[in-house]
Amino acid sequence: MAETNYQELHERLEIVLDKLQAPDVRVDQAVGLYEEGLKLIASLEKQLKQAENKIEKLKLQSK
Amino acid sequence: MQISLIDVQVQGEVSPAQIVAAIEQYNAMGEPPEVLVITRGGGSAEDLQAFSTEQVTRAVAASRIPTLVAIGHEVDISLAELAADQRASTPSNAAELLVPDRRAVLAGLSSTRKQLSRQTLQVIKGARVGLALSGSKLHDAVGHVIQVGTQQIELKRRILGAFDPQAALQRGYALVRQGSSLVQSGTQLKTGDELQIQISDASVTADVKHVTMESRNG
Repeated sequence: MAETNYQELHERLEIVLDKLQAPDVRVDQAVGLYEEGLKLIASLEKQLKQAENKIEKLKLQSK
Repeated sequence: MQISLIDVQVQGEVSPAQIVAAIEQYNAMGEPPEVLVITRGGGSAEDLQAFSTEQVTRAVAASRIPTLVAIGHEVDISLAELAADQRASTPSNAAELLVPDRRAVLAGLSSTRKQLSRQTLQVIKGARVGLALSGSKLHDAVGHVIQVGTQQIELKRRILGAFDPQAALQRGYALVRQGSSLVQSGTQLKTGDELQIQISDASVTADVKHVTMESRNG
């Protein structure tokens, strides 16, 4: 999942949130969506961390 | 950087004409230089006279190419310098004005680099805040779904409770069975039949002694 583009993951997270907040969502669906949302957030956090680390590294290299 | 030089006499009678000719020569070029530097080192006021002549001053003013004039010492100001696009106090100062200062350029680059990483980190920080917000929305949304589900089940449990036969028994009603089937009509019964009567806290076995049908018309 880490290879997927940040934007795509983020869009998917938005969709998951929208579906989860829809009035007709079923409980079993909601649990599945919640699980997917948590995975997406973990992936996005990982990508942010990687980006941050890369910037720190580049900063050190360019000094 | 490319430098082209026309050597002229900078003092004496021929000097103004040579200076003017050099200025005109550069201005006549198909691809003129980016800037024209007219310069000489220090000397006495008379030595610098050529640069205050009308010819030279007018030629500097008329130049299509931007002019940078630097004559003599700091204190000496010739008319040509006043006519120039930019005046420099000395030839060294002219050179400084012509090229950007290395340290200033490096400092600028370093500041741009810092700004670049600061801004990129800012973007990441913003994304992280957004993500935290999404996370809490996710928790809230699923919590809401579960809460609504729980409320619906509670409501149904109550509705169902109203149909609980036990509740009716508690109120004094009884269930009458013959064998395994519920007795719903006297027509099912005859004297001597054995009945099981269920009340709220007991089961009673009884015999039918007499059946009187009731009219439900009135």
